[in-house]
Amino acid sequence: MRLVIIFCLWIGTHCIGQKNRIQEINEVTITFNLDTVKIQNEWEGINASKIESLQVNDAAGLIRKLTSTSIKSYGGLGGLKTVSSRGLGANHSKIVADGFSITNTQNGQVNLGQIHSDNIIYVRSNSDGRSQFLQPISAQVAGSQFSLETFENNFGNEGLQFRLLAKQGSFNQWGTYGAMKFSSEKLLFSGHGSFRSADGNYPFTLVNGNQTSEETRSNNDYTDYHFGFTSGIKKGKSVIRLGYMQKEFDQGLPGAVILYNNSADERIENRDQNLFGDYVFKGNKTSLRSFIKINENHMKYTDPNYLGQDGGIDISYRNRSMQAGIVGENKLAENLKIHFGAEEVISDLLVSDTTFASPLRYHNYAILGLKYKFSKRFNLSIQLSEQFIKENNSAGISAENKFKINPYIELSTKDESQKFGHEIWYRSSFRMPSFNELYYNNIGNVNLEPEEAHQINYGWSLSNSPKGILQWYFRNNVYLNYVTNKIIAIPTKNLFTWSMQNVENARILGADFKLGSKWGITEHLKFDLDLNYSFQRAVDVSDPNSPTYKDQIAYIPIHTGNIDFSINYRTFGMRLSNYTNSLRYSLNENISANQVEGFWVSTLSTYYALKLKNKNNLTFRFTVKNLFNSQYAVIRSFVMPGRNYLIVLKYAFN
Amino acid sequence: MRLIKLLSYLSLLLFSCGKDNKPPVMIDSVTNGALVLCEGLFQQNNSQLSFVSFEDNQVENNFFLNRNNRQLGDTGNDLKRYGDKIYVVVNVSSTIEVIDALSFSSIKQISMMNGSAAKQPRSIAFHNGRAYVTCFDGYVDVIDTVSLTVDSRIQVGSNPEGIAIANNKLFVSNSGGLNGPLMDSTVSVIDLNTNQEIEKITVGMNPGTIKTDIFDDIYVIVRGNYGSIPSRMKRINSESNVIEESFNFNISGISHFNNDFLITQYDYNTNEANVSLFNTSTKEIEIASFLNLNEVQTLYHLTFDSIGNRFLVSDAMGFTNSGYVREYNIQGDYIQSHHVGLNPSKILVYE
Repeated sequence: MRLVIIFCLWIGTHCIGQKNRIQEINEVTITFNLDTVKIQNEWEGINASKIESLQVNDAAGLIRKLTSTSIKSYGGLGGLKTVSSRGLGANHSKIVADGFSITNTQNGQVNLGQIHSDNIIYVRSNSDGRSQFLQPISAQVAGSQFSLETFENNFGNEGLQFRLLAKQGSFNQWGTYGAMKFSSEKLLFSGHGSFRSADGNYPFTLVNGNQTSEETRSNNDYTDYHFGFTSGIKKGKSVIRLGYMQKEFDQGLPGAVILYNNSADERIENRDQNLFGDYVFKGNKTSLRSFIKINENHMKYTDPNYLGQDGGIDISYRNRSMQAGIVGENKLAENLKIHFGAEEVISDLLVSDTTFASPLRYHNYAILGLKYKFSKRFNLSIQLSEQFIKENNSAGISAENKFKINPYIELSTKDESQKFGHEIWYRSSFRMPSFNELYYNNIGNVNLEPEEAHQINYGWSLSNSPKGILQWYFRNNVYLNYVTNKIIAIPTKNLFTWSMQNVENARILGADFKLGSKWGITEHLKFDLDLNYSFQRAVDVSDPNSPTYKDQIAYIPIHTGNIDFSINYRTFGMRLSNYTNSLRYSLNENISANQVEGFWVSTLSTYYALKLKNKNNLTFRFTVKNLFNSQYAVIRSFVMPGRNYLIVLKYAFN
Repeated sequence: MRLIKLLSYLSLLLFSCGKDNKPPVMIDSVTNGALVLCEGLFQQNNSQLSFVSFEDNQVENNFFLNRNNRQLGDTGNDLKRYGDKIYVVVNVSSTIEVIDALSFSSIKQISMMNGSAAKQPRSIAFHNGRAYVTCFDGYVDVIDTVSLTVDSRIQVGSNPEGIAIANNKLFVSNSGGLNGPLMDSTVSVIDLNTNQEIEKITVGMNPGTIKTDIFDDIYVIVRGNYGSIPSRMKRINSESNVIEESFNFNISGISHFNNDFLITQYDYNTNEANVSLFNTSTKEIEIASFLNLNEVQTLYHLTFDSIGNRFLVSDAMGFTNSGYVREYNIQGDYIQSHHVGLNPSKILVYE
């Protein structure tokens, strides 16, 4: 079970990025030549104004608004939150911040709860391969991918900009964020810092059989701060950039709500340092990006009440990684493009506990693909990726080296008006076992094979004219996925010693629907309506004789949905945001004893904006989260906060 | 807003379904049956009691909840009866639930906390009106079975697990299981006159189950490291506190069978299980394969019902699926299975 706790770590990196966008007819033109995400149309992701009006605590609050995602949340500010997409496990999801992969080879997952949202200006998921232009190969070959872009690492030609934000909320939550950014024709520079804290002791209703009692979450305090700098120069078609980012966290782990036992004393301290840089060239025929990122994550876990001989646990982990790569695209002919890339990620783990392994991993990626436009309307994209992983555990047995080749193929078409398009694609991918899964004392299993995923997707979209008063966009995906060699923990030595094994296969039949619309009734009065619904029938197909055969996989909801409505009138606006999950099961056996109830959570956010002189803006926001005080848990025994409030004051220059 | 609430309720209705939508069974006459402790799983708060009626083969799950309107807690670990009370040791919730053995309503829930830290009780044994409870924090708690309060604590080794009584002494196996891979290897001997530890016997790595036979010999399983050091049984002379014999067979558990033992063996890697009969007089395996376990997926515990002359095998079904109690007759033939809760282990037979 310590493994679960150890999963509660890490935050990734931020890094550098890109451009400014000007909306065109159903397309977004890149004005600056550092773009690593091709935005097909404005409806695909979540833009800055929606992000601001959502007033979420972290990146998980944004990603859950995207279709076919399920967030596992253990609750609280900074608490562990991971995303899985399309029924694949969280380890298949790659998070890319400003064009750099967030890597954590220790546990293979990124804690979205520790990624601030105040600086995020764009979020999207990239399930297909088309939108991953100049992204790191390590992200392009993952089963699913989410891109985040931040204010301080997106550069246009805006000159000097400032952002200052302060917030205060329930459970003694405080937060500040400040950023300065300068970008001209030749130079770019940004610096930012932020701070968040909360005591996190939120009240909840404990249901115990037929009895209820009012309780308070304890040992749920959280403090973090981030700071970073980015600078660079532009010359002609080239840009060079270098940046540094540091994040520190200190948090209590409230643990599961255990009946009759309120003890909770575990803590995590974490320091995450990142040095990153890239060079981008965008010519008429050739685009090229080379990048490097060095990351060190230092995590200290303590549990003074652990009943070992030494009177508790105090253990430190250092997970270091260096990733470097090159990715590019070349136009061979008017209708033929080649894309290619290579990347090397070297990572290790140093643990203060001498009985732990000492793993070092070399992970090599390469990719080669062709995009062929064989009529005005049809596009064919074919790609092969290669991965070679070499493992070296100097303190014991090493996992075997792995070599894999994975294909990706896509056929897409759009009508001439660009309003209707559809595509079909297939990809195979895998995720490597993490260091914890391979080497963690007793739990780890060096014989683990990678977990494989096969995905077939058909999607279509339709939109109306972007010039009308009412604009709308509709998208639907239907997909069938197979996951084999799923890595799960089962007791293999005794009930207390669970070990990781490749013993499960899953089949996921999914569909998602998304409707985005905006209605500008007058110049000043505007409505937005965003709806989405996702269906994920993810079933266990491991063993026909098992009691869980064809049962829904634990913690994947069959139905998830979002309904967001906003109204803006001159300087005033409000947004009602709703998020719902159907019931889930805490274990794979779909019996009532394992049910975790479905939930519906609503957030009401209002704002008042003041436009001052000389590009100075002041915005005041008031948000009620969990408006109807829903008592719910995403993960069994990890209760979520009830109704709570947040006040935000934001100043922006330019 | 009303619409949203309505939709919310509708969604809950629509999405609430499980494949076991049978009406729950409530058994009126709690006789001729077995009370089964289902351990549940860590952090799921789903430990529970099931009652299996041999009268009509009905099973009442959530037996404790149905009679007390609240849950048992997280990870039940031991179940024993002493006089007219049943004691359930709930490890992660750190409680001892004391239940009236006839009405099944809770008499008292003894909180096993030491300040803000959980003592994590594991196993219980009784002697002269006192209950002795091993606690993972390195102590044996002494509980007065009349006042149901903890009278004193006796310090032993690390993470004490099993407990057995012979010759007016307590024998406690110190597993040190939370220090893996550097586990403990001792059995603490406690004089029940003074409630003091008088000796630590080195028995081998990771001692667990400990039992007394009719000759007052102590048998302890040293579980090794689940790898290169195999699981073995040792016999301790309870007068001299000396190990007199080591047995060279693989072993997972010991159950009483009249005057003898049934030795269970379950291999977690291959799922192979075996039950053999150990004669405590000759101190040898008498029958190497005593039960045909074809129906059992995960042999977790074995109880001999001396009243009904039947064997009750707790099948944990891979530990993450709800389990079964499988019934065998005295000849060792499989009779039937009873579907109970998650991870059935200890069983109390009711006349």
